[in-house]
Amino acid sequence: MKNRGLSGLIGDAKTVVMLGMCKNAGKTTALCRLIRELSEEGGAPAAMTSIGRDGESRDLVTGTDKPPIYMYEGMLAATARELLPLADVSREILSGTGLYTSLGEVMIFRARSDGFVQLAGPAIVSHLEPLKAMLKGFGAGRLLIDGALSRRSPAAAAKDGAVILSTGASLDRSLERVLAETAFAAKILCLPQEEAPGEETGHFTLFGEDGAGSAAEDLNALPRDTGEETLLVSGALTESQAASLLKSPVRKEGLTVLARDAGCLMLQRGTFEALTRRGVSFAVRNASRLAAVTVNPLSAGGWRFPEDEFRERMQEAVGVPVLNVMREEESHDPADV
Amino acid sequence: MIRLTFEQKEELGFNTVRSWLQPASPYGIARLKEEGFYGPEQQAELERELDNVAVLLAALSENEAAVLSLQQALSGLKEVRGTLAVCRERSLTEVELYELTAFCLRLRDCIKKAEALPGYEWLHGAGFIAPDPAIRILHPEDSSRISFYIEDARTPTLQAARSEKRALELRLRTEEANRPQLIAARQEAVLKEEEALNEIYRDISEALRPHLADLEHDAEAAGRLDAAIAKALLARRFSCSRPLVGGENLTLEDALHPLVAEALKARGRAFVPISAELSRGVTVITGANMGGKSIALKTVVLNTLLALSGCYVFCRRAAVPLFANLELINRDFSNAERGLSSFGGEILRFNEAVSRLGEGLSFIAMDEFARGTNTEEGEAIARAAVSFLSKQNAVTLLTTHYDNTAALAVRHYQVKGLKKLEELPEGTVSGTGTDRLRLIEQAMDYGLIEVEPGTKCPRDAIAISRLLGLPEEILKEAAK
Repeated sequence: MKNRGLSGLIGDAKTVVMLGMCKNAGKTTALCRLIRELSEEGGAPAAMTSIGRDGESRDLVTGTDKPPIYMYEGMLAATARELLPLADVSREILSGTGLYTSLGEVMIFRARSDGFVQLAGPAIVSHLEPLKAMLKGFGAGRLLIDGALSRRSPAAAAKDGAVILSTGASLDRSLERVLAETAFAAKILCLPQEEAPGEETGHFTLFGEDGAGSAAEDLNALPRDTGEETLLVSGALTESQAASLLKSPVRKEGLTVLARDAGCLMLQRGTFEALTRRGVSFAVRNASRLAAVTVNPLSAGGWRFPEDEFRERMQEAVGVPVLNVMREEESHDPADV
Repeated sequence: MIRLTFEQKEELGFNTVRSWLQPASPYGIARLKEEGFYGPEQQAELERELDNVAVLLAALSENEAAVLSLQQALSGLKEVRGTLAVCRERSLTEVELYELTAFCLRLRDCIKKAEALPGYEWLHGAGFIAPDPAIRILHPEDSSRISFYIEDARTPTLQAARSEKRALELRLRTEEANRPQLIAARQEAVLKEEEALNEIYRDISEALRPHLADLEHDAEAAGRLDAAIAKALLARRFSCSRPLVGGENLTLEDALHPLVAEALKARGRAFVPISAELSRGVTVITGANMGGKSIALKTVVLNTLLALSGCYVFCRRAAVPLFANLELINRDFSNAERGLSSFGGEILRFNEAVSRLGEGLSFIAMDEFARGTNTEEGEAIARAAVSFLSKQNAVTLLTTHYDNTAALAVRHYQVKGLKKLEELPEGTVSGTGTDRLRLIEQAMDYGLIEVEPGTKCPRDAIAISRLLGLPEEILKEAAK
């Protein structure tokens, strides 16, 4: 049997979040590919939305909006009211959602033909849960979420689902750096899942070996002589918080930083690596599953990486299947033209 | 017209009680906002509103599920009045047409449920005009499924554009060759489809125009019904009663202030209901400090306001005139911001109240009027004001310490006040501040009794100071 491409890699994940490392990483192309594969598979119709609106939907040459996503008859989409007239798919409006974006209420429609759509779903990740339930009510099968650019926070939506990460030459002129940054993002997206050792009592809660937790608002004030401890982070771990953890006198060997999900870990690669070298390990309470990485060897700036070398080395770096979605012979999408 | 400030309504507890009304739809919310207070010319309207609450209360006791199911259906109605208004000016967009379709279909459901209510035929102003003509225009398939889509068969132009477009889309699914040409050809078909749809949207909008007024009427009827259901639910929750409205006497029997009652209940104590009859002229309430004079006044004003806003009241029985004005003259902390002393603020308010006396029967409630100045002059001013008001077209309620003022009243109530000290428990002068407050609550009888106008106030201030723990040395000196 022919390799089913992306749809074969996502398994039975009910939710798939598409993340991009940078502009022109081929995230939209990957999403379109997945939509087409799912339409050929049949079954319950896929539904699609986005977190916020992707800047890539603006045509940089003409400055006009171009509809970047091609959907198929029967599929469902949730997008902002003001973007509906920009879609050219024949559509049946099914419902409002009571969820609002700067472009108006998010509306749900069913495609009654094939055609283009612009997605601008809820800007807030937590709004995806009620939206999922509504789409399910209209018979949706899988939900495909176009995540925002250069942010991991949409990964939170992939709870019990899969993530597809798109990267490409546009990220950096140096192939080595593209590999390293993508591998870091992949590592965050593949962190192991752990249970919280207890109730969180502050933004940071430190749990000792005895299981007792104490709130620690100031990372610098952590006790110096910790043993095997867990630092539970209730919201985001920002780069500056991670940097102050790195500089704090706390003993780092054996310390586990436990975040809610991969989207909450907003620290940079250098800080992450420095902490890891000192014996800190990272885990999440809701693990995501990185199903695949897609690569685009062609950059917007004009340089390109050797196709096969890029794909193969990426494969080694990330440890999950890597696809080059830009290969012409694999593409049927009107969106690619 | 009754003009109370937001702060005054807060102080009276009116805002809180009105916030307990929970309409389900934007129309019910708007209805409550617009309703305001009923004036002397609106007796029939107010009676109709109270009739509606009565019908719904009866419906609640006969078939609660039917009322709640109607309320549930009303909660599905989204605000479309803006859309109805723009439809007179221009063609509606697909989303606006969807919203109107959803509104009409849900409205049809509401009407069905309203008509199933016990006593529906007795409701005023809830007569709906069936939205079926609009539904036939928006939704010719006339299914009950809420969605908006123009089927191909609507016009031949649309049919042609859609089949051309569909054929190209099918080719795009499979053909490898000539893709740019196929895409361009599809783009042409897309434009034809859009043109055809816009023409249909224009025709639909035009066809809807004769029905817009009916839909607006229904939106208002839904709001009326929704607001009345909210009032009935509140009345049931607190066993409120229907006020009689009209006439010139304000009569309350066993009136409660629900917020104070709630606070007392949390402390294990019960609110002592207040009964009073107020007619043209001045009614005075006197009584001990901490005896609840102000609460009695607030209870009277709050229940009056509720009756005049078409709600049931927290009384066993009530008769409320349709006052042209209702003025509350009390200690107002916002005066300080305006650079006025509390005394100055009272005088200005009083002037305003006087200037409106010509508008019709007024209700003037004054809490400890002219107390914020020296006793001698304060009493003289209060007395003169009472003398003036007793000759005006006004029902006045005044709480005061000034005995001589009460002598001019048509009616005089006294807070029953402290029980005899020998009835009190042992150890009255021990304990901390809160214990002492509790002791006063136990020792105080908050009920009102009617006395001969001008009857001397009970002299409880020294006894109360003793209960509050004022040093004995000072008490002795004071008693001289």
